[in-house]
Amino acid sequence: MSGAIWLTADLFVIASAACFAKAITTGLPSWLVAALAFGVLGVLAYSTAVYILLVLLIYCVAKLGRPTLPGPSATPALVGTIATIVIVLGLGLANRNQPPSHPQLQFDILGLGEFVLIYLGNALTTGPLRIVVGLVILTAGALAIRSLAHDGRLKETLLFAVLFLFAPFNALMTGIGRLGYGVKIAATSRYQSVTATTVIATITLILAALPQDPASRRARMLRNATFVVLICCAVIIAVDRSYVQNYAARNGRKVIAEIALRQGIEGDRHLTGATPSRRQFERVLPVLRAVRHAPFHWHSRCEGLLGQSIPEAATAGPATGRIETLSTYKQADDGGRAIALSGFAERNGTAAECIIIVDGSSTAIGAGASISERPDLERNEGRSLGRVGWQAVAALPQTATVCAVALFPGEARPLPLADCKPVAADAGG
Amino acid sequence: MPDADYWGNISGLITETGVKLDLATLFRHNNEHIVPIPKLIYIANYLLTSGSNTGLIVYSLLVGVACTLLLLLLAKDILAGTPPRLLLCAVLFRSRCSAPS
Repeated sequence: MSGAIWLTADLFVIASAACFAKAITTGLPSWLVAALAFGVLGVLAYSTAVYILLVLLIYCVAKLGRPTLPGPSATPALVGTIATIVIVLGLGLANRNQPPSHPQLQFDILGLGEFVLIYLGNALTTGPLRIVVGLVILTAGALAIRSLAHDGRLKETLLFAVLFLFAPFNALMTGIGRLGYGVKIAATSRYQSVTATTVIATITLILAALPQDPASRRARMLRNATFVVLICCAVIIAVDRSYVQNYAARNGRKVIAEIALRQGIEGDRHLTGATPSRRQFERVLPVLRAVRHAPFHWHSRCEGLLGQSIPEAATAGPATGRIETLSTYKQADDGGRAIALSGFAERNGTAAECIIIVDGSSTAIGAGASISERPDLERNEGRSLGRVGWQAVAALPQTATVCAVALFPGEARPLPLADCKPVAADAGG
Repeated sequence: MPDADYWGNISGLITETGVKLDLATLFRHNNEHIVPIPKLIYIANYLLTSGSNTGLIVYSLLVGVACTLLLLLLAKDILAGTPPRLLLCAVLFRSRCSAPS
């Protein structure tokens, strides 16, 4: 959902900035009107786009005060743009909403500075280095703009100068509103779409500002060093897969949370693992279930066997994996107990499609999915195995032991997993 | 499943009797923000994919690609005289936009 919101607003901001730049270079008021239209659409997508409306407002006011500035001179277009923006921003301010659970606005200068730098630096790195990288992005962009202005090329590169300030502005606004949560909130992944626009603008400004045919040896060295740094950045970004791992881990938690939700045995761990907005989620849960909204519109083949007898569980045969852990947890709704299991399942290099948990009478009481890679197993095997690590959840069994079977892609019947586990006699308490 | 604090978006729009589209709900705040366009996108995704995140991911990818191509097209105007720089720009844009948001 965050991608849909933020990227839609980004697209409108970029389109608006492009039209604005065109208005400056051509002097045609129609481009200004187009910039305004995209800006308003951007604000209706997300508040980050307020930035571009403020840019247009400042320009129009400045142009009215100083007609020699480049761009459209038609007073009706300028006044109309100003009026529209004032109305849009005025309506937004008049209907502003500060949720009671949110912190008060903060204007701690040092804290805001750190917030802005982390917001920017988080695009390329993690940890304390984010502050340094944020500072480098800001400095590099500012120096490039200064150099382009010095060479009289600011008009031609205005679009990217405007986009360069997109993330710093939004970082500042977000910081004022969210600093009460702590500086670490600046590293929230969804802010990355805004930062990406600024990083892209910075790259373009730097490349545009570099001299084409440097006369001096020093200028040549500077140009070549900048190229090397940018190429290194491209390589580092391309090979850094940490965000993919974080994303995959979060999605893995969601899959198990969805299975638990569909069985009605979700625990706190599932809800907090799937969403940080527990109260919102619990409010909409009845609707999600009633209209069969995701994740209630679908279930795995293993979930389809819940309550049925699985004779394969009692069959002796070569195990295709095993149960490694079993723990009990408290359900979120009524405080009853349920069990969580984990292990691995692999057959001929293929991970299980899903897992079925069976009780001592071979009745399916729970289900799971293959969600994680297992480097420990891959080291022993000397080859890549894919996502063979599984997790599962099940209702608390009435029998002393639980076992597991795995369904593999294309297979009609499940295959047994080794190491059935005992369930503690007092687990129900 | 929808992500993070965006659950609030569907309240009132997707009800136990199905989709209910009205202006008041469309313009109701989500935290501090008024987000009618994403709400419309979310309703479309609900109707097309039962609200699966897969639909939203596809949409986000398409919009992300559109942003990148638009920026590259605009950078071309400035860097057209220096093809190696434009090429480096394209590589960096692609790398940067491959990260999820």
